[in-house]
Amino acid sequence: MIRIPKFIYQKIVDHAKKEWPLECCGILGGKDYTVEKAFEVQNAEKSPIRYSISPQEQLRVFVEMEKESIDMMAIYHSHTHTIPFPSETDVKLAFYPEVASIIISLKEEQNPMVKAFRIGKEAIYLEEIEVVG
Amino acid sequence: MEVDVRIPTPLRKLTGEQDTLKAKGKTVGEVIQWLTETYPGLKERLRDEQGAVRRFINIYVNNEDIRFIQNLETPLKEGDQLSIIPAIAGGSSLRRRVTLTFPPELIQEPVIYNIGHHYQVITNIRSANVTNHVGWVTLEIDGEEKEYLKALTYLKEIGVKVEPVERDVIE
Repeated sequence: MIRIPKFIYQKIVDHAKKEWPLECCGILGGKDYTVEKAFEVQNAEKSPIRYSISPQEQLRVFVEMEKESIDMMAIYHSHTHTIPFPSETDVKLAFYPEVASIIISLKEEQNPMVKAFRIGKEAIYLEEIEVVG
Repeated sequence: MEVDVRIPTPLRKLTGEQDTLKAKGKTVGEVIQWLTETYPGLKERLRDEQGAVRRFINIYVNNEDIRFIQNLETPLKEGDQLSIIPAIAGGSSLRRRVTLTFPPELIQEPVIYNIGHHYQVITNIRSANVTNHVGWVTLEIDGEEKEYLKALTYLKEIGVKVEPVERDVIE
């Protein structure tokens, strides 16, 4: 279960729309299953079907999260034309089963869908998103 | 040398929940060795079965990637900050590569444009050799499995020879 303040939920959907037709990505920081801040980062791949976060961008976010005493709760990215479910690539490249993987799907232009998962070694777990505030 | 080690927050449960870890070592390699020996949970995440540091684990000393210094041999100074930054990446589908060989009568046809247009696939030409009489193209095709298969079926139906290219291995 991951709690996301409404304004942050909107922020990540807007980020996905802004970057379309390329995939967007970012990190959500917070504590106790509640997100407090969204960090938009550059998609180093600049691709409609791939994303990656450069180590420099990650370091920048780590330092900021340290300053605010928050932890990495989720990594979000968009799927520009496919469903909000981890793809083969998402699963192959997943490293943190501890961190929620949030996917914003822009498959239906008028109806962006946001889903969260935990990608473990043996299975993909659906994570409930509770939008608060 | 005593250095500070920054561990990504999700991995801190493997290092006793410490915010800042102090480690000793003359080189990055020595510090990583100490870390993985002291925290076996961390070893599993950072090292592969052969014991080598996984390719996608980035290591920074202060603000520099060790790949641009001396990799694991990078020397450390007192008070340096070592950051362990596992790669974060993904995408919407696995890239598939195929080699298409065109019969003479199709060389003039916009076959690749057609599949991008009729099916929900994104194509990227990697290499090609096309003359008036023979043509082959190595193509990357991205998209959901269903659409990819439809595109392949179409190609075979119109007489294009389709051969998969050895896939890149992503560890």
